[in-house]
Amino acid sequence: MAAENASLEQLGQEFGQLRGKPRSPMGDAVREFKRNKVAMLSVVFIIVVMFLAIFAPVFTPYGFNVQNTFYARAKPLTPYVITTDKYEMCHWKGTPLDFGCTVYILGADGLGRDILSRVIYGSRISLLVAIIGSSVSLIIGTIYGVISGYFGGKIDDLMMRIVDFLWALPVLVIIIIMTVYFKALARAGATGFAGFLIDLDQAMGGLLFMFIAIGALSWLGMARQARGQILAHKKKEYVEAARSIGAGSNRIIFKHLLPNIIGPLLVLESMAIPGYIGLEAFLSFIGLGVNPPTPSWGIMIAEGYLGIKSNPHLVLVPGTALTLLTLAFNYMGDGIRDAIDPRIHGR
Amino acid sequence: MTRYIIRRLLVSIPVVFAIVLFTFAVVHALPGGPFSNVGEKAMPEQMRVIMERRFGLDQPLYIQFWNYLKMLAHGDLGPMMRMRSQTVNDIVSQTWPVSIQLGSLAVFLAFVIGVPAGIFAALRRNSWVDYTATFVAVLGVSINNIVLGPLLILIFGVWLKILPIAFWGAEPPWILGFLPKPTWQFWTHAVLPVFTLGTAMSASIARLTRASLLEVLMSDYIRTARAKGLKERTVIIRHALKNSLIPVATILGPLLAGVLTGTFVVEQIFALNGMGRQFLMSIEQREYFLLSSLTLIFSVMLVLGNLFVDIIYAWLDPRIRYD
Repeated sequence: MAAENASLEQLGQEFGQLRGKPRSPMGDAVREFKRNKVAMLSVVFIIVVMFLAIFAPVFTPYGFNVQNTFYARAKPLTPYVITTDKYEMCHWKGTPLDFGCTVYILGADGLGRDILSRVIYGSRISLLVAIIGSSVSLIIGTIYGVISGYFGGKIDDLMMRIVDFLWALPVLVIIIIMTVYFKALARAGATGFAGFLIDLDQAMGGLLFMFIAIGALSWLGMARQARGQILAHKKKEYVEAARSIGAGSNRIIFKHLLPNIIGPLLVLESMAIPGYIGLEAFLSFIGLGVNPPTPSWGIMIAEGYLGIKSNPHLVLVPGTALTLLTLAFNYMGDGIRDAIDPRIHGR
Repeated sequence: MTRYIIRRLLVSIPVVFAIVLFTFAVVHALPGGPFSNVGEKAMPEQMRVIMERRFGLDQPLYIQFWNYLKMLAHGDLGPMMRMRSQTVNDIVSQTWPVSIQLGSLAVFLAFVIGVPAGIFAALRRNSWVDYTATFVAVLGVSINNIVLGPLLILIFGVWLKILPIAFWGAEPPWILGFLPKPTWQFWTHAVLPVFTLGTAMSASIARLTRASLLEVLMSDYIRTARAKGLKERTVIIRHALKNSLIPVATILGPLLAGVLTGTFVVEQIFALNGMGRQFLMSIEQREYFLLSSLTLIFSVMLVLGNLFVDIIYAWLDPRIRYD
């Protein structure tokens, strides 16, 4: 009897070893993502860019707004005349401009501002738009979609009609008109709450109003997706089971439904990030984005492309930065999709 | 189907109306008017009042809107307030064809490149053809119009000097009101803007075509078709291709919106006299009528475009029935 028990125990242990650790879907997704070299590389790149953006003052040789018109439109990596008597005072950091010394790795723009510094500071804008745009869209869209899908009936009808209506709008035209309106208001000045918003916007270099304009219309797709997911899940057995043991709506939504539907929503959102970055660059390019002198890659391209014949680096440097960051977010989005969407597994 | 189309058109009327109302209200709420001294030499106060009265700007907004609607009902898109030698109708009839030509050539290019590229990549899966096509496609999706345009100008206009870098190669009068004279000049001028606008689209179409063809090729009915001994060519062309294009049709909608965004940028970069450029200019100059009318046209085009996409969708996928 005792021997039998021992062998059973052994069997149980062997079985446990065979099974290995219990695996969660999230852990699977992370493992799958880590196997994807290109996606991992993109994430590393994005983290490096974030690091540069956060510590921009440390990594940039000059401020984004330091002008030295003597070196206007300096070409990248060409030697500059540094007068010998001041050579000692010329050092990499600090304020070498004060002594008439310049080292422009990527050249300088039309006002003699260091392009490297401006590109690094410009990454702040693109990353902020990526982060804030996607969070706003994810949060508003998910809340809206979940409410609409979960409660159904008349509420659902009304909420979805609103989304359908907004969906039919020419979004870009509306965004442009809204931004122009905000900017004109800011120029005219205002008091009270509007005045507070305008001050905040000024402090953020014109970003706030762009976020409002982008955020106001970017959650529509997310709301539809979230509602669809809720509709697909809310009749499933596990939700029935939760309800039968007396779980309330809150518990069902947050504890049961949300964890199950969040995957596809994250996929959708990560695929949308390049769009936000592109939209910001576009708005800045046509002069409706951030206010100068805040550097944004879109503004830098807009300032540079008219003189592209003689100074291609004014466009190529910020253009390369914009393309690389978008590329990284695209690869990351693809990686997340491949990792989370089980249909694509093993492809 | 006809009933569905009619219903969709009827439903979209309030949408378009609301957009125009919104635009009209916001634009009039903008500080400064067409005759105020924004960035210009000040106009004498009495003169400004006279000018504003002449265009009815002194009246309450709802009366102005009502008058605008009456104008629209007569097919009149309104007067230009600054450049009074022209009307909004003139401007639109000159610039609308440019945007349409640019947009449709770009969409055409996107499909001509994107669909075959996607098919080849899917058929030669995991070969160097596939890897190259996939990489180029991701790059194409990632490169923004505002980067690609100047880049193409630099390469083909400045360094190689083989293509013109600005202006549209055709001018009014248009054939049938919107077609260009297909001259050599037109085609050479069209190359760079059309490629700028079409690249991102063709890249996303290629990605989508590849993914959906791969999925279709793994389905049961394709196995059946192969099992009964059909040639691979027949299997792909007759059986797989049409179904694999269904998801591609779904992005036609966002694509149309993308064309709109793209024309704004491309017209700006290549100095084309299209609607996007007029739109931006009309905001700056507070040309209320031009701005409202262009918004109206954009919205109508978007509504019609989305309807067209849904019809194509139903044609490709017989399971979809509208009624």
